Amino acid sequence: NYQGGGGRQQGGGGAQGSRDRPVNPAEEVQNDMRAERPTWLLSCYSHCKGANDLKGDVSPEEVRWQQYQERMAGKHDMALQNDWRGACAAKEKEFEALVRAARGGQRLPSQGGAPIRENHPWLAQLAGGSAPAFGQPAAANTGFGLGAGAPAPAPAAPGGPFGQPAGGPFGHAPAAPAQSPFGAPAGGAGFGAPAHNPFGGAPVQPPPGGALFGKPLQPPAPAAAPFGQPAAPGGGGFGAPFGAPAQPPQGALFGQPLGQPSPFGAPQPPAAGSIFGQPTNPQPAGGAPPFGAGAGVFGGGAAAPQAGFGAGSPAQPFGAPAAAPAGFQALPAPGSSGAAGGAGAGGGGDYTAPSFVRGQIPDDPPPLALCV
Amino acid sequence: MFGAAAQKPSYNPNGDVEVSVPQDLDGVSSLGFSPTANFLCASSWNNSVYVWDIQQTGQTVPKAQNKDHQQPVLCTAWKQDGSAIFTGGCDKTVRMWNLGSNQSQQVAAHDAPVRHCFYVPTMNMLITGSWDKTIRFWDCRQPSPVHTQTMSERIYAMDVNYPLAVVGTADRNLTVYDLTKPQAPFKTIQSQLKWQTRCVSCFPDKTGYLVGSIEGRVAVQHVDDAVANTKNFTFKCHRDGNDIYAVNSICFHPGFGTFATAGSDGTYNFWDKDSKQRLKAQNKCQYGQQPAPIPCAAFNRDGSLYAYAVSYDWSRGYSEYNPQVMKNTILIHAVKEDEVKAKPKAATGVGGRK
Repeated sequence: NYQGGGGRQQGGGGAQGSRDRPVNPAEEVQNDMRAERPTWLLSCYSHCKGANDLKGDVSPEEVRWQQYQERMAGKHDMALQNDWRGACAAKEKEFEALVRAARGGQRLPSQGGAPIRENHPWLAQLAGGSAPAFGQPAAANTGFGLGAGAPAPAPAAPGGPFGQPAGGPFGHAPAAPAQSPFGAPAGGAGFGAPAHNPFGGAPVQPPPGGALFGKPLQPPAPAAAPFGQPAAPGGGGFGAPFGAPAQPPQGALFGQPLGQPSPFGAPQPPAAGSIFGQPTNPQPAGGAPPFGAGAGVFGGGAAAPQAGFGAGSPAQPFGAPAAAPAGFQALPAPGSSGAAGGAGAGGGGDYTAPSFVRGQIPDDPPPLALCV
Repeated sequence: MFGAAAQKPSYNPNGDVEVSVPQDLDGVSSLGFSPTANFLCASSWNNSVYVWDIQQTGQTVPKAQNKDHQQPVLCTAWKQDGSAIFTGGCDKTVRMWNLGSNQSQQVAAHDAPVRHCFYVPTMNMLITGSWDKTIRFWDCRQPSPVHTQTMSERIYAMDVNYPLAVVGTADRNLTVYDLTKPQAPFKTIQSQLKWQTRCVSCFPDKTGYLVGSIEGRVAVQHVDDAVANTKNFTFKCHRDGNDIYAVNSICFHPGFGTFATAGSDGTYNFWDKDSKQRLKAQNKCQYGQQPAPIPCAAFNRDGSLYAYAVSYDWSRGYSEYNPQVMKNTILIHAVKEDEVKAKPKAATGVGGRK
């Protein structure tokens, strides 16, 4: 049940069943590190899909947040670059060390062998899960729940507290929402009733008088008008936020000079004092909205793509230095090896009239693959 | 038809509708449609959350903006009646933004950035997941969580389809919750993928979930162990030659039980896990010659629209960040039936080929 298909662009094949053949750790590690290495390197890794051989998981969002904070605190581009490259280099050293260990027949970390970790302080602060250097020290978890935090995951005991019902597991009647895959009917008594506390404590009561955190959840508003009316007369608000009905496309979003009034308002400094009670919606821009709306694709009109990307800026090779707006500086480093340019997915489209109710004449051309 | 193609910008090679976004938009971290209307919300690394009205004509009308978070916003969740949006992010809080009054208030807090938040109408609760390694349950009327569950590691991925909830943490742990018994996890297992967990998505029928990782692969997992042993599998995706990209988003179509993936390679694809086929591959979004990543995506409530962001997702770190070239945009694809309708098994039995 294994079909290789990874060679194709955007390879979508290669389904692997859960019962893979037994793995040879050395082969697996070497193959993974050579041929199956992801673009994102700051990751844990397990050759056997069980315990990790490499730890130190860091996600792109954590790196981004760290670097945003550092940049705001004045760290220079070169330092930010060095952090990033150093972290990647450290991970690559870990990969090589793991390959050596596997080749040498040593016990891998996932098999109880010695951990493999290349020390990189900037990376370690992120992977350790502690607060970034520019933030506050990590506080103790509040509201510590029942029992201690789970260390290593314990295997689920068969027929544990959520054992299967006599009637068999859910899965045969996908259209029956009342059944639960966990063996008990969903929607049991009490859910939906606001006073019931599923965690077994006292029933949740709304606080008397004013709540600490402001108003309780708003009563449901009519779905047709979720945005209501602005409280302050003349405020930007909803209903007529931008001063004029939406216009047909008037011009490019991109290519507009900076500083053009925006329907979302200019960036504002944080409001002094409490934000409660101060509408944050910006004042409407005077005149017609400068941003064109999309073409009428849904109504069957031709999809005229907005001109503009590149219209206002000179064509530049990727990574050419450019004047930086406030914030991050454009870096001269060109991209490393990446995909060859050009679109051309392997998938075909349906160029006969679809039976879909909203079906409009497809306006996009066939993919290149169909044009030979 | 072909003449029009020549004008398609490289970041929108599929000719999808472009949302009119503000000039100061930074990377888009989450997208979500209202459960009751075609209002689309987006959160951004510029600290703002936005709402547009996506009209039938294809016009995208800006409706609202909230800047009460003073730091990047990472996640959003609509309240079931469409009246409010929960927003969470790097300021370690979650706020509830009431669209009628256009005011927001803090309803939850963690000790580190909040990565995911979900509103669960059956429980009338907010569930939040954070890099502080906890998930917390809130009834939003009290400043303290009703329950806090400490996980083994930072929360990276999460999805809820009551009563199923799945949490993916750093170091490849996956925790499954039965929300009818939320005091403790149902089970915790290791991911069937070898590298960092990136996203999870619960099946519409709640019998299992999909896991996406950084290694251009998706795992199909079933909750019931007996079913899992025979029906779990993984498949490769979001690869281009030797380059292997992260799967950033997996969304099930609300009607057909098929799903869409989107990745750092700048593509989005439609799949059918039951026949193990790819239904449609879309053209690759690019910034010049480089892939333009898709960090997040969402179907609307009836599955007629698929919104996706095209913006740098930091998948190549700081070195590759070039804001002059990497414009941030949100595109909306008018879904075609043949892209999302389940198909009978192909003759080969395993798909990916068109």
